[in-house]
Amino acid sequence: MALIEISDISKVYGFGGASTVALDEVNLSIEQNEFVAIMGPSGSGKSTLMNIIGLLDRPTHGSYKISGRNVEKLSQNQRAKMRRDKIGFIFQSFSLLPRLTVLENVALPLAYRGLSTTRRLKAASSMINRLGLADREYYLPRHLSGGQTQTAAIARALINTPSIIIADEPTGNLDSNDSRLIMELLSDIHKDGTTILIVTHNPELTRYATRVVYMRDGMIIHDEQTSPGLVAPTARKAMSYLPFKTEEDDLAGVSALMKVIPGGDSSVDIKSGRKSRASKKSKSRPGKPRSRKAKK
Amino acid sequence: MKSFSRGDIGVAVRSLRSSRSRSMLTIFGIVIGIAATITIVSVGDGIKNQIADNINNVGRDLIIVRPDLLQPTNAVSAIVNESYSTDDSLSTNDLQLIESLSNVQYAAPLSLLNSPTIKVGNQKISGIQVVGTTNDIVPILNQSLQYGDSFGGNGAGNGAMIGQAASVKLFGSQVSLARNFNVAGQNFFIRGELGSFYSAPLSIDLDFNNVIFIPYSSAANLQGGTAPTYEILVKPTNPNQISTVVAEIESSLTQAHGGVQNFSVLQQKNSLTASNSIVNLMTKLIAAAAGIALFVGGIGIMNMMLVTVSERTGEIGVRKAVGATNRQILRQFIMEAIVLSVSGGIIGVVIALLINVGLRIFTVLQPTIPWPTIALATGLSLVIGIVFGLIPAAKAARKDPIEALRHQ
Repeated sequence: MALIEISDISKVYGFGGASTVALDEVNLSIEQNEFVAIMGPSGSGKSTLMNIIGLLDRPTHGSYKISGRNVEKLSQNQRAKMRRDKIGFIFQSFSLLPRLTVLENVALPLAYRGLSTTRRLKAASSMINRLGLADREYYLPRHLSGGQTQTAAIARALINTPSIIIADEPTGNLDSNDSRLIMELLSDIHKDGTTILIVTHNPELTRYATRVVYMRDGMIIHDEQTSPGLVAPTARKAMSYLPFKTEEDDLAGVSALMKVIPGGDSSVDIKSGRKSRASKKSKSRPGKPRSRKAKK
Repeated sequence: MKSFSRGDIGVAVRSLRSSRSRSMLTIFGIVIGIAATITIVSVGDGIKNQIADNINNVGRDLIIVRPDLLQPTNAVSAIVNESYSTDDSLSTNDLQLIESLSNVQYAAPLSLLNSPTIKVGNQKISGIQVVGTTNDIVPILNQSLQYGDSFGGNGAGNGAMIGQAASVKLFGSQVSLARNFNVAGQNFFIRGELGSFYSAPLSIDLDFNNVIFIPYSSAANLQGGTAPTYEILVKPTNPNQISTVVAEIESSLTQAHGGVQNFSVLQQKNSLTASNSIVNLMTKLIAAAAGIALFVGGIGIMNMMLVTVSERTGEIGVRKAVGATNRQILRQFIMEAIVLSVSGGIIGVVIALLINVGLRIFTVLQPTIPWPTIALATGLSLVIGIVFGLIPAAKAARKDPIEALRHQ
């Protein structure tokens, strides 16, 4: 039985003539312990799909099962409890509560399970320890580096031992070193048996995934298994075939990376996760996306 | 769940601390409301107790005969001295009639001189009441003479008895025996000095500490032959026979007045009821004003909570994403409102107690510490927190997690 089973899921925003189809009869089945990267341009429906899988949103049509249990009709409360027990979120903007210490932030999901403060903080402390942030327990989020903040956020996502981790562009606000750190951390978590879904614009990150799902205009247009350690084949091709290179992409997901690569030009950045490899790859396919865009 | 509530308070205190000055300003309304309510009630209770003490000091068996039908409802105007009825419906005959009743031990008239000029040497002194009466006034008021003697020679002449406060005002000393003074052109001297009267604030009775008693006949002379008697004080032989004596006085006086009852016979318990009703009325009115302050304070809390909720939309999104149910979010924000209003309540109680001590030290008031009111006020602040926190908290709980997360 698949861990996540999505059949004919649609999401429509607005009414009548003003309605937008964010997801168009999407079917997706994810097994336990997969590491799925979801790629696609802005507005392709990645985030909407993640929100529905993460039980933050409800589909307009279609059915959604987690471990065989129908969840699309659950009440708000039941969904909140499912989120608490089964799903861990990691956001691009870290989303730690600024007034709470790292320890308290990590312990937060346990509070909603009704654990005593002592037990909560103990559990959070050992989780923080596991992720190597022990000396930052009593820091406030604003006193941490980007990588440390995201590590704390991952600790928070893991504290309830969820079966699914949903990461929406987890490295979007990080420099390349921190990005690698975070991805390797996620990779370790995956090796421990947790299912991971990650939304990204960055084909480089597909190295860590076991499967890559490509989306466009609210539909899944391609779905492939990948070998560990390599950029997914389509993702590599996508760098040239898919109209990945749009202004929105620049603005939305990629601009952060542009900042960290010195002298990086936008057409190069889109295909490169890290500085070291960036130069090689960009040399091999010089200017292709740009020429496609020009034709358009 | 219990432990979670405790954590809730901690979380609430922390988020309120992060906007400390705003929180302090917000609870100000509650602080004022609670402090005012408790102070008003404690002062009111204190005054009632003091009046009761006052009456007990004079003796519960005192009977007061007044001209006209001076009813308790008129008691408000009775506080203001000028409205004492000086209608000459009680006469020397009435006094003699009452004195002749078998169950009456003492009877004394009180004739209030209408703003007389009081002089010591050439110096005019004001703010002292001059009352014409007889020697019986001393035992009737349960009082004794501290120095000197009562009016000489059959209660006539120009000897006077003086209260302590009046003595100080007139002569600058509590001991003023044999000193001379002048009332409306006639010379008097101090023949006796009365002990201290227990005086309650807001009492409808005269403050006898501030009175010069002159012989009834002298008072009559000063006012052109007859002394308008505004009340006759009567003490029965047996304190248990008050009602009998009251009935006797009523029937014999009505008969003497040709069947018209143009006077009233009051017992101390009437007087107590009258003053209590005034104090109660005033307490209620001022407490209502304080209640409005509390209400406004509640609105202040609601306002702040609404701002807080919209400022912390992102936080609400994160909390929901990590599994907070709507109910848990609701509870978190209600808890914040409660912490605000209850801490306002507690500060209000402390301020009220400080005011209480201050009043005891610096004024004649003896406010009580009304524990039930304090408990009520604290409970009320809790209710205010819940009631005025509910709408903002519900707003927070209803937020869509995706929308909320976008606010970060």
